[in-house]
Amino acid sequence: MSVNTIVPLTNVGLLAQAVESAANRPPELPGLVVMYGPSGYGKSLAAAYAANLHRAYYVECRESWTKKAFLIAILREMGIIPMKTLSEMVDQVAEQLSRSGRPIIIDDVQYVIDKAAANVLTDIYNASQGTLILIGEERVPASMSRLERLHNRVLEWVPAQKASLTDVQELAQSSYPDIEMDADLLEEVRARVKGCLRRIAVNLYRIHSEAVANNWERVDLETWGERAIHTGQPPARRA
Amino acid sequence: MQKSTTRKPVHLVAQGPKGDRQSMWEAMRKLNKAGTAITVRGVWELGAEWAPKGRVRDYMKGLEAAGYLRRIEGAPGPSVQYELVRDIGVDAPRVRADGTEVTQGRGREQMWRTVKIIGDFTSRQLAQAASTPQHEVAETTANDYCLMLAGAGYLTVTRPGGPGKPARYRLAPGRWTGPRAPMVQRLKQLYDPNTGQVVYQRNPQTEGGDE
Repeated sequence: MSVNTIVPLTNVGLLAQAVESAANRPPELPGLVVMYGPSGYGKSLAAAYAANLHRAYYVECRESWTKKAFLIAILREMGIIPMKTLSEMVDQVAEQLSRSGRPIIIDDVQYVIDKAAANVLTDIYNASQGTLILIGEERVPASMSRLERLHNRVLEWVPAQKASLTDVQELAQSSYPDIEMDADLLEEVRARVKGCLRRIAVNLYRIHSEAVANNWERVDLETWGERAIHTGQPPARRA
Repeated sequence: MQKSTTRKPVHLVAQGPKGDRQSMWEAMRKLNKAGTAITVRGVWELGAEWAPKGRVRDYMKGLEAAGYLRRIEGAPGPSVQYELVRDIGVDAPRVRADGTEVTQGRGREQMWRTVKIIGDFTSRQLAQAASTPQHEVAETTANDYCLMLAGAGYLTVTRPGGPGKPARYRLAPGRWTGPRAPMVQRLKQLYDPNTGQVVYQRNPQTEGGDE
């Protein structure tokens, strides 16, 4: 058995499936996939896996981006020297997308979706008919409903899911195979951080350090006892 | 995949120095765009004068076998003429003379792509995040690659490693030089195909190490 089987996290699987069906869609269907959800839910890991499966281009948006900055970033990701005007750049991006057949993943799309830069997305999609994967925060679908031409080209909406107990167990097993972490403790962690994968990772790290320091081979809820579970909330002031 | 709806031809030129295949491929696209038939000689003159013609011929044979080029039957003149029937854009197809795909380097390509996406990571996490069913990345491979990239200043160490505690890395700001993955070469040096420079040598006995 290989040591590196892919961690089968729920959101990784969900996005991979959606991208797969978009990439293999019949030509009359639209090619947009939108994954949305709070930060810390493992959307980036899902993006990495989908990107590697399909050799997709990947761009992470910034708040300060204008149309031009957006286009230049995409061309840079493609390794193409940008031409002068915006419309030429749109054509360059579109040509590369449709010729290569590779999808493009636009992450943190909430930073551009409410601005003029969002038109770049519509232009690129219209000119390329390619596969576009937008990833962003919870409010992205609402923002997109204002961009009608984009909104009705969505093939699949993929809401990012909270981590399941299986996800937590997979993560614990793959990150810290030397320590056995019991399901009751993992479930407690999952419930306390409300399924946020990033906070789960922080807690697993702490549990592991504590286990190593105390020479535990196995930790359950009882062993963990009164020790804190990190929830991202500042501790309550004691009277 | 789909038909192109681009109004007028745009020019897609890759950044950086051109490797063998890349410059030959760009020459073919240029000839194609100009409406000229593609010949070994034409490609050699336009994009590979430094290479033996045999290499150009081999690559074009591979492209024909893989269905990118098609022979124009009954073309006048002594040399074989081709047309480009499958233009996949700026990146040169990686094919051998028999038309099979070269997949060497895919693991590295996946790591380089993943480094940009996942923020901060240990080499174990990078190996996991960069693996696909077709191309798995071993943890040792990821570890070596992280060390080389960190040596070149492409990755910063966000938490130093220690006994039983793996180092954590993240892509250094502004150090993503382009889509082509830096390559670990023999002699343990790191070559960046985006800039054409050797950016790190593990044993800095000769000049040309870190910039």
